[in-house]
Amino acid sequence: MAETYFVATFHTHAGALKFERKLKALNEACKLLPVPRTISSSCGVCARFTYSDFRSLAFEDLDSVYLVVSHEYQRVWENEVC
Amino acid sequence: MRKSSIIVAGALIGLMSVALVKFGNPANMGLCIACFLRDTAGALGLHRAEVVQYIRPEVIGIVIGAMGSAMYFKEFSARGGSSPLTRFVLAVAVMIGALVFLGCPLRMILRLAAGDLNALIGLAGFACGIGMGIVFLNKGFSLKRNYKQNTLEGSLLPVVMMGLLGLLVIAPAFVFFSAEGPGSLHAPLLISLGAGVIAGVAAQRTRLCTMGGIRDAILFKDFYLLMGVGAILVTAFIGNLATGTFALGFESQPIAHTDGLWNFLGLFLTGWGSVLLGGCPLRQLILSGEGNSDSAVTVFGLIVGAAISHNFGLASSAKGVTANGQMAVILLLVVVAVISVMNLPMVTEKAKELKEAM
Repeated sequence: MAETYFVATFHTHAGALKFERKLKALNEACKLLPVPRTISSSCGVCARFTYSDFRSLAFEDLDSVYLVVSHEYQRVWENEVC
Repeated sequence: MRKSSIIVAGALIGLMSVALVKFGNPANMGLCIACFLRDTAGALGLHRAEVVQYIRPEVIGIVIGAMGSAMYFKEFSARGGSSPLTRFVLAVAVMIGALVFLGCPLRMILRLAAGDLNALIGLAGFACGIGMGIVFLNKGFSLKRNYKQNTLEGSLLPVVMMGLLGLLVIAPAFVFFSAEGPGSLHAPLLISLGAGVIAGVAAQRTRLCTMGGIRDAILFKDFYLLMGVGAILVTAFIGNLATGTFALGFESQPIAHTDGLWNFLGLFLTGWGSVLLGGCPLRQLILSGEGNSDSAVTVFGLIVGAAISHNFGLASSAKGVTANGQMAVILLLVVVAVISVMNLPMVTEKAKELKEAM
């Protein structure tokens, strides 16, 4: 079965830490990683997680959320304030 | 992006750096963003150090190459507005630290690849500075997010670079060109420009960043960017061995001094500032080519930092570090510490609460 998870990108490093704290408060797993080159050219950090209700955690520094299936990235959410 | 891509990118930059020295660039200075922006500042008369004045085509090529690559792959995006003035000040600090060491982190690697052991101390300082920056990142340091801007805003630095290329080709009387010293040593224009373009494309495609390599290794145990840095080191080392320019030791290294403490502290300052800026001087050039106006402001900060360095006698030379340079590094470490603390959430959110309560 193909591995499925979400990857969130952020406008700031602090945003990634905040998102990680929000997920951990819900006892959800979250791992911070460098942003994969395939989805962004930024030098930043991304969060890998499986929590599907991520929209309820959205805030200004959250940039986009991608659904990753078999290493294919599909953008499923984008911050309206761009 | 496959790991092989960043190794190829690093190898290309390492080999081109050795080749550029063979074609005429100063020793161990095939590519050095700090030195080249300093030379460009001098050529424009922003400082009057006569031995370091030349509009370096490599810098122009890097920005144009990154812009072309970003546009071709639909990654060009005009963005900015993330604490630009703070970034400017940090860039001044990054440049002054680099010129006390005598080279940006890229030249530090090239010096190491040529056997200059002073660069090993610089590397230790750079890594410790990055570690210090990471402490503040992990406490929530943020210069706040950027926003979309109009295309012109993101295109201005590449346009300025094209203007500089015009000045280099026309060479009007008001542009200064060194008659002697490192500024007088340069590869032919088209070779320098071509190497810059290749480096710009390679670094844009792979996100190569000397600071990012060490930061990601410490923060995430991710070695993707560090492999690119390692490839620069290995290929430049092999290139130096092949061309007979490898000489192991501390003494008599080209355009270098042996003051270990200030080699360490200079790049400590550069490393710390680069973490807060989100990229080393090379990465700032690449990001500005991708339309990031915050990075463009950073590049102007680097240029002004170079001018200050030479106007105020802060820059080191082969003779050693100046007293002014030592005082500047200490003062700027305090400035960077204040910026680090003042942009922590515990400070910014407290200020926000107070403002709302009033």
